[in-house]
Amino acid sequence: MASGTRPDTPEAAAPGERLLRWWRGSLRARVITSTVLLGSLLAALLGTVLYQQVARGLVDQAIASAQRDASQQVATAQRAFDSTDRRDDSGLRGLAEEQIQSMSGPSPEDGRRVHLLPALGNDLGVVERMATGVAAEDIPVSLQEAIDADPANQQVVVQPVSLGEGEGRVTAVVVGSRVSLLRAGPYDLVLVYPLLREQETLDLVRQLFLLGGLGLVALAVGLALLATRMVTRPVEEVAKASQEVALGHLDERLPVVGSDELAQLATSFNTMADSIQHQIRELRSLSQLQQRFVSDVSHELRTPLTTMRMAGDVLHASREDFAAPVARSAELLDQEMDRFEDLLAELLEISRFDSGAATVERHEEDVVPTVRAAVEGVRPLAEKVGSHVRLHLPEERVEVCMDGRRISRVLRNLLTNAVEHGEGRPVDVTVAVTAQVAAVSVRDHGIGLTEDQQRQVFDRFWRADPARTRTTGGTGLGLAIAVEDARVHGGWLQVGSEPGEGACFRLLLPRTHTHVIAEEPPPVPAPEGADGPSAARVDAQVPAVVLALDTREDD
Amino acid sequence: MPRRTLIIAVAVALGLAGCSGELPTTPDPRPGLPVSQQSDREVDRFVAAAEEGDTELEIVQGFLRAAEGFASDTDVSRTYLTSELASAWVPTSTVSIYEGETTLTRTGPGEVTVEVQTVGRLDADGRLTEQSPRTSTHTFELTEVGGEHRISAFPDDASLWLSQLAFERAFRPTTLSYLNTQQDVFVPELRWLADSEGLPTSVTRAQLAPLPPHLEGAVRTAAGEGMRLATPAVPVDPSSLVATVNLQGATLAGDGAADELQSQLAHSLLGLSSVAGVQVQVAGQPLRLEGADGPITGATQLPFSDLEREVGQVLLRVGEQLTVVDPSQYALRDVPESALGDVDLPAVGLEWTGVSATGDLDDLAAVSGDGGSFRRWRGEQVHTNEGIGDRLTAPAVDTNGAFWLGGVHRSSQTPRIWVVDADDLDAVARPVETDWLADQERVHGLSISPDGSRAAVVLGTVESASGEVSHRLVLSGIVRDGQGRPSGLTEPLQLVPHLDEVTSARWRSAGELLLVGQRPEDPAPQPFLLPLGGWLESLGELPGVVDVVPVPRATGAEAIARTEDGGIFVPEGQEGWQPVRNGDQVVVPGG
Repeated sequence: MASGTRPDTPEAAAPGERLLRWWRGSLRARVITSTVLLGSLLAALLGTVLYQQVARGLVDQAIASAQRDASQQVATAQRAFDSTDRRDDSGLRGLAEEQIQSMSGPSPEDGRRVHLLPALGNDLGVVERMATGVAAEDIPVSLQEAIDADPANQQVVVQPVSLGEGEGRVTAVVVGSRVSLLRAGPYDLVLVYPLLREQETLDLVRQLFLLGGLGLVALAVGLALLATRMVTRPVEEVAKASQEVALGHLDERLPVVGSDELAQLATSFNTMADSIQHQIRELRSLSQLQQRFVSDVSHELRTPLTTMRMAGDVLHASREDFAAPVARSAELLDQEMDRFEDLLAELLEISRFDSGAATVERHEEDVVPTVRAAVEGVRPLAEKVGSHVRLHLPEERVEVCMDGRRISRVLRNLLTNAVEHGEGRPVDVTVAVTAQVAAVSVRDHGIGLTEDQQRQVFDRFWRADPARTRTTGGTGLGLAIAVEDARVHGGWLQVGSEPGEGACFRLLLPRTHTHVIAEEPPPVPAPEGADGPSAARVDAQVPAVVLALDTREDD
Repeated sequence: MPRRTLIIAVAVALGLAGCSGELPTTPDPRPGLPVSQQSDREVDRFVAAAEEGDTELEIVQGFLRAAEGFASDTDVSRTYLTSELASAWVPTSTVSIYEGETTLTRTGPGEVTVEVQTVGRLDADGRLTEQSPRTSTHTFELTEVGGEHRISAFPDDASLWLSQLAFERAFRPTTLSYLNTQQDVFVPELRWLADSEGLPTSVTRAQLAPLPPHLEGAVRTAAGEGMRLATPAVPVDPSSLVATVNLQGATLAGDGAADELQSQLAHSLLGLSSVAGVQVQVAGQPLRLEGADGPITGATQLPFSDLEREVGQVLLRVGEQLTVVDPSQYALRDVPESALGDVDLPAVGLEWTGVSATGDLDDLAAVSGDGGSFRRWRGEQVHTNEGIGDRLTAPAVDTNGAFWLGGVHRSSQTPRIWVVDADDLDAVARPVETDWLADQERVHGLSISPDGSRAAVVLGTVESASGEVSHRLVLSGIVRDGQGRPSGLTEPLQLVPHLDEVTSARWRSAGELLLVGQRPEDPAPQPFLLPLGGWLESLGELPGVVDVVPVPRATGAEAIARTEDGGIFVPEGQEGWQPVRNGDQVVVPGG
């Protein structure tokens, strides 16, 4: 961690954030770092507790040993002091000196050191303080005071002492006892036991603990790696398989190994995939059955319809020879035959779309003449209902790779609907274009559509008002076919409407066959008024769309 | 986040604490084990310390009274001294022993004279020299210290003055043990050492000291030069009474030396009532005595022993006749013929005097009345040697059966001492080296110690002025050659210098002599017992006594005295003598 840098500076935060992002993004990283941190903490905690226990044990052992030794040494010294035959100062001094010399350890490096000093309050000065390898300042006054207060017992402290010039201080057990030195009075005999060996042992223990701790952490890392690998690899495989299934590769399955939770997950995943595949197949076969039925019925109706058509044409041609009511029936028969034929044709068309048999022949064409031709096609109807069709066309050519027949059919259908539901008000046809997309909007200012109607307007055989008088004899399949036509071009057909304000149908087409409009474009803006220039201005704008490369095989 | 910070802080603290690498310390004193060995010194005599306002006379008087307690723990006698003198005062360096009252006189400012009857002196080594009581004057110097008088200087001749009574309380006669060169027996040496807790230390110190000059070459000691106490103390364990002698400074030559050293030290220390066991260590390593496990607790464990000699029969000479008598019988009755066995005693002509006999009664020897001939008897054989010298003394016999003679060399007229070896009846008399004998001195008597290591020699010196002969007694060690034959006598130590006259000296035991001598106050010679190094003891007046012979017994030697008129006396009661028989000489075989 770059603990020394300021986290709020962008330069420092950037790698930190990257690290954090990486950490959050990787389950394995999270598991390993958590395991290492927790393992290290645990190892440190355990090591610290054990280490302190060991240190305390060593010192306790050394204290016990020092106390025993000091007890023996002091008894020996006291007996020697009592046994001397010299009372003069130099005799006592010599005795004390030789006794202390004999009590010191064999070598200065280890073994006990001795300090003999007059007890507090003993100022006879017969024997001055003397020591072997102990500095006077290493004997704390508190020790002497404790001896003075309780001379019947040893007094023990553990503290660092210096072992001579230029050498470091070493922790030592210091045991003080009261002795009596004939006429020289009470003295404090202090024995110092440096804990050199204990310190060495402790150093060794620390090294072992550090090595052990590092080993433990390494082991934790290894275990975490292994564990996460065992868990994340199957999860990754499941994720990959799920993506494959989502992409439509329903045959994708997971291998089931063993009987653990991961095996259960794989089994469940496979069962789910099996179930989905099965249902999709069923639905597909049902749909195909339905389509084939519609297609078959349409085809089967064509033959008797042809015969009926021929008979009807004969009757129609001879209607003048009949009485007036019969002639009228012949006319009606002829009209209904036309409608029947249209209906059948549209049924066949839609069944072709359903079966995927619809063929599209796209060429580079100017869409503007196609629009003009469609408008000319509905002009008689418009004049009949009193509507005026207003064209808003760009001046340049608008080359679009399209099947002209299908686009004409779509435009015709839209224009017919607009005129029929325009309540005699003007109908605006606007062509807008960008480099990639062309948009044709057909806007009427009639009764409009409600929200529900807008959702249903592209459904088959749906009518805005079933009771409405059929002036054009629409089959109810026109807009469904138009939507399919737009789709096979990689485009979209959308509607925007407000009840009473009219409706606007917008056809969006990619200008090249290599692209499709991948996502649903923004909704078509609703008309603002009965007749306003703002609507035309809105329609003249091609909305922002998401284009994608066309990958459809059926084209 | 506070929790996370807390965890990190705890971890860091633990880590730092754990990895500090230092042993934990406890700087506050806490009680340990009880101090088992408290000083067990107790004040045993109450003597007054110097008090405020004491006069000079009172100070000196007080010091003389308190001096007895010099060895006690309080040592109040030092309070009478200036601090300089108190610090340096070694009371035992020279002790003057007096008798009777002291007379103190202030002879001037800061000067007090003490008049005492001195009867003896003790040197720093603890050797007592008795002297005839005589008045002596000692002058103490005093100075004022903080308004108080204190003794600042002692008289030159001593450092401690004790009455005889106080001396015997404060000092204890202690036997040091040296080794005989010929046998595995100890040679005792009596010393007076301060009776205190330090007595074992003093004994050890004395034992480790070099041999006194008169024993050099005559006895052995295993304490080599440079050997000393590691600590100048010999502690005695209060519960087991085991004295631990920790030595250092010299190496021991072989196991024998270690055993000898241990034997000497143990024998000397076990003689103290305060010691029940002895552990000898060299440089802290305990020495092991073969056969003894742990400390030496009895003299029987030692490879050396005290000399023990018992004589069951003594010879009584009446005229030419030698009779075996039983000394254990009160009246020295004759031993019946039946109990004698094959003892065949010769008739000793009246011209032969000073008969002596070996321990087994096989060899007898005597000198002629004129001191010019020496004769030996062995069974039927007799050999006379007339060419040794003149004025020969009565022969003394030693443990090897050799006869010792004192006399004058015929040509040079100088005193000589000869030895006639035991082996051959006609062995020549071999002079031993006695450089210290002055030409005008004459050997009047000889006695060889029962262990054969020392000789008591009665020497006579002719006073040139009066022509009178004065006798003195000396003790000399016997130096022997590789074969154990005597080759010389060491520089002697004079004994009983306070006696005016010594006519006879005979070894009673390895450490005692029986004397016939005369003190200045005595009207006539008397029998005495002299423990070597101790006070002379009178055995009771016996008018006309000429000789006292010891008869070694298991219960202690008995004395048999002979008077001029041929009366044989045995002791009766504390200081009385009982006539038991008549005879010309009592001969103790082997001594």
